[in-house]
Amino acid sequence: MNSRTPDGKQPGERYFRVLLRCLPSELRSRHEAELVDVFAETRNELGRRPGITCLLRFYAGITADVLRRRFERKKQTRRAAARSGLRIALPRWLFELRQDTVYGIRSLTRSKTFTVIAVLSLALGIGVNTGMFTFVNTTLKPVPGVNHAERVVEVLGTSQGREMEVWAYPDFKDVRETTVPIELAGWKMRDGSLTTGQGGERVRVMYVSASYLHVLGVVPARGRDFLASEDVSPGQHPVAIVSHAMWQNRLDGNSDIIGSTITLNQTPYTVIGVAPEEFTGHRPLQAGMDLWVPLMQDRWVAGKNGMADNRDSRWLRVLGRLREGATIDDANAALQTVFTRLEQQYPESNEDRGARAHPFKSIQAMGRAQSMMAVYGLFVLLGVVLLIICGNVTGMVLARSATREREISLRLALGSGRGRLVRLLMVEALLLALVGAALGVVFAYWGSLALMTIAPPLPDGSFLDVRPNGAILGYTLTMALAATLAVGLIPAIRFSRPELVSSLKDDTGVGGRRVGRIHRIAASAQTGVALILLVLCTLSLRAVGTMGRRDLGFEPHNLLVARIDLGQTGDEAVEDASVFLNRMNESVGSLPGVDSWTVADGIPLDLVGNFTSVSRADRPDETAGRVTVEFTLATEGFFETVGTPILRGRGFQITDDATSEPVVVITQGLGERMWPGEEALGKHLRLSIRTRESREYSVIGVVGHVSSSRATEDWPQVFVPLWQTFHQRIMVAVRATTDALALVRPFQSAIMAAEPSLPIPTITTSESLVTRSTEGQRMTAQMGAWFGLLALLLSAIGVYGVVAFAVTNRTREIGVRMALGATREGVLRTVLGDALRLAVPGLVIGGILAVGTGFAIRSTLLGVSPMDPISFGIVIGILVLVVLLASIVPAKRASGTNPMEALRCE
Amino acid sequence: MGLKQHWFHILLALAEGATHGAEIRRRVVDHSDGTLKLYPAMLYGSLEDLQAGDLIAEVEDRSGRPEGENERYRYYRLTPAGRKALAVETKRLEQVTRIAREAMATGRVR
Repeated sequence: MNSRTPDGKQPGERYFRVLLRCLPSELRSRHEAELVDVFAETRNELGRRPGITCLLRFYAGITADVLRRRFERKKQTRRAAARSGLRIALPRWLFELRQDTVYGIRSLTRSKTFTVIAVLSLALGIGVNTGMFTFVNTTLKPVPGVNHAERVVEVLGTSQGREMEVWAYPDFKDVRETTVPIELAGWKMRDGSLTTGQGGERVRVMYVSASYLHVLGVVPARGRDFLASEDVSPGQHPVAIVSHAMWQNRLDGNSDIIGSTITLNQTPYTVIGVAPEEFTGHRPLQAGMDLWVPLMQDRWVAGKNGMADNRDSRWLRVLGRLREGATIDDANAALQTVFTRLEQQYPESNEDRGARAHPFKSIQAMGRAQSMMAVYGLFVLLGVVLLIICGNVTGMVLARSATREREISLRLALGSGRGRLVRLLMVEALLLALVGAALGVVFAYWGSLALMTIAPPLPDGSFLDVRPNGAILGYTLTMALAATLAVGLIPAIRFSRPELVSSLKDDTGVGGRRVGRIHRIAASAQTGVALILLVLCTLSLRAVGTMGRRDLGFEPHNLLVARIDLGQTGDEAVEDASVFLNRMNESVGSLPGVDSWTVADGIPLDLVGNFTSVSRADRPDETAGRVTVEFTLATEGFFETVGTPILRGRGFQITDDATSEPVVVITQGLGERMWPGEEALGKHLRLSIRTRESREYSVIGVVGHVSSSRATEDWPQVFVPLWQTFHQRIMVAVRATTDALALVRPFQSAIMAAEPSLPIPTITTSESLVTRSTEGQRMTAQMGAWFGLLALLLSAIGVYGVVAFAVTNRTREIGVRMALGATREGVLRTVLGDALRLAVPGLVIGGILAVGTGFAIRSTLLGVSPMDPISFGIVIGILVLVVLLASIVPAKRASGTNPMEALRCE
Repeated sequence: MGLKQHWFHILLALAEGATHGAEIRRRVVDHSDGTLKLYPAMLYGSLEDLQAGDLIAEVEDRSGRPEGENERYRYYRLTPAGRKALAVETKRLEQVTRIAREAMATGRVR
């Protein structure tokens, strides 16, 4: 009945056979022959030579028929599956994964305490790491506005191989004129006073060499760059490039800004350019610059006795751009050659001097090159923290898995594959890690926000962007996966091959798994770390506390200070300054409520600190007798105002000026060191202040102990009249008769009245300076508290994991003991005792290390003993309490064991 | 709701006597005056469905088959349930047809 082609096949049969593969295999296997026959028959009905449309319709129809059947079939099975609550339509592995996930979620939500603790600790670990990454990610970003940053280098001055960042200007000039393969740019930051309608306004000025913007690859958005000729002759080219923000906010944003005049430090400057909007200086972690002017415009640099010719004074920071084809190594080799030549040329100043180029990164621009090392170190540390957390969670998972041993054995016995079991356990770990990571990202975000508000090295206006982005989320996800492996793998491997028979047959669990030694050590170590951190925290807190009771040697109460930079007035010399001070005397001295006032370059505990060394005038060459001292430039009324009693001799008078004999007031301690057993008054000292040549000073007064500029240090001190060694940056100090705070406003106005061109000075109380001087201790205390708390939490979790695991394993043993007459209290005591024994090695070693660390930072402890029994007592008490608390839950469970149940079935 | 159209036709074809798929198809073409041509997948799919629904059954007995026919052809017959379903459906169709005719006669349907 079938008409066949010579090869015995119907036309199109091959196509149909292929098409049939779409059908469910049962249908095909049962009916294939008949299907093909029916196809052939249908095809035959078309006739031998059907029309093309007819043929097309046939094949379309036949294809649609098969496909329809296929999808109808699928729909049916799915509907049937939906009715029976199953979904077989998923691929097998996906289906099983789904099953594992659902099962995992169920089992995790069942043991809530476990899940919450595990997720929170993972979130903490992942959070601190993500936070760190966020920070580094931000700081390693290219500096906005800088082009070809990979060719920009920071060139740090070195001395005897040590990097000290700064250069002497003549060195800079000499190196610039050689053929080193770097184009150099020098810079220096200094606040300035911009005269506006309201008087002086403080602006952030960067004094730069003419090459500065070019080295950074910054092209002014408007106007032009500096010309090389504008940075040669002192004070001859008052030109400025202003920042976009400055132009918009303070200079009204007019388009005719180029060529207009602004007044900086009483000098008119012509604006020649506006920086691009995104460029706010090459140190983006610091507040943005307002304007850039040539270095040679700074009187301190280029004025009479300016620093531009001084080879000894090193203050210039240097950037560079590698020339085409040069590498950093080429540059460093060239720098070395030049500095060797300079050393031969100027042996007295340039001994062991050099410079080294480093890649330019914003984090380095923040401060020191070493900060990178600190960051890597911190990364490793936080990685270890995460590892410890994973260890803790692993311990908890093990403890939990132990109770599931029978379930797992049963699964294996019923034929569940090991792979399937490993997957189930891994899926559970993955769930924990993912939820932890999600929380961790939130923690990290909050944490960085909080960090930015408390971290002192970051001034306002810096641009740390801590919002999570792709890179951060990627990093977090990677860490979550790493944590999954760390947390899941050991339990998965261990429990997917339990001793099948024993576990099913012998329900005891006695002598089963012991808690891994590693976990015991880890838990103990965490307790130790917590001890170290918390001891440091309490020691620092106590150190801060002692400040109030110390004899400071002066009276911070009711003392106000204002810092003034006379360079900003445009006044240049001592004569002008004394005119200014005379006006100050009229306005400040006559203020009601002022007990006394004085001018100096610093007061105790102001964190500034200037040092020199002194020797006896009669033994000038004796190096052994040289003593490093802190010096303060003071004027008449200084000791009365700051409240330091003069023991013998006199304080300064208005007659102690440049024309009179150089005089000095010293602390009693220095006198005893220089002339043991003799009266220091009337003796002569040799010292140099900001000069190369030392001078002879006669001691006219002796005061008692006075605090140094920093609370952690204690130097002998000398006081020298300001009029004999003039300095532009001074402080005006005022002692109020009663309420210092009420005097702040009048004091400010009085200074402004004396010199209207000054920026409005900030008035601080000496008490706030004293508080700030212990900032380091506060920071240590704060960091110690945070990290200590973290470590405490971790050790609690670790101890809990270990004890819980041990208790679970010993359920039957405890049951036997209780059956034999052990009391609940006895069991409780045993378990808690075990927990304490666990913590003891950690506490002992941690204690020893804490004492060591305490001695290492002894100087910052302000006299508190590193072995302070109160601190140690408190911290050890807290730790023991936490260990007990962490083990109380499993201990309760152990003591609540019903002996009959434990023995009967477990 | 009634039987699917092609199911009805397959049942009707089998009511004439047990046979195999290709023959069922020919009978359906006859019964529907050539308007219903069952494509192969639809045909055999429906046979499977009907068998699953217990309306038809496979005939194991190979006696009485014509000589020279493919040995692998499967024969189907109506089950009592299938016969009943056919009767019920026929009756329903009669009813529907009657109602429709009356409606058209009285002009209620235009």
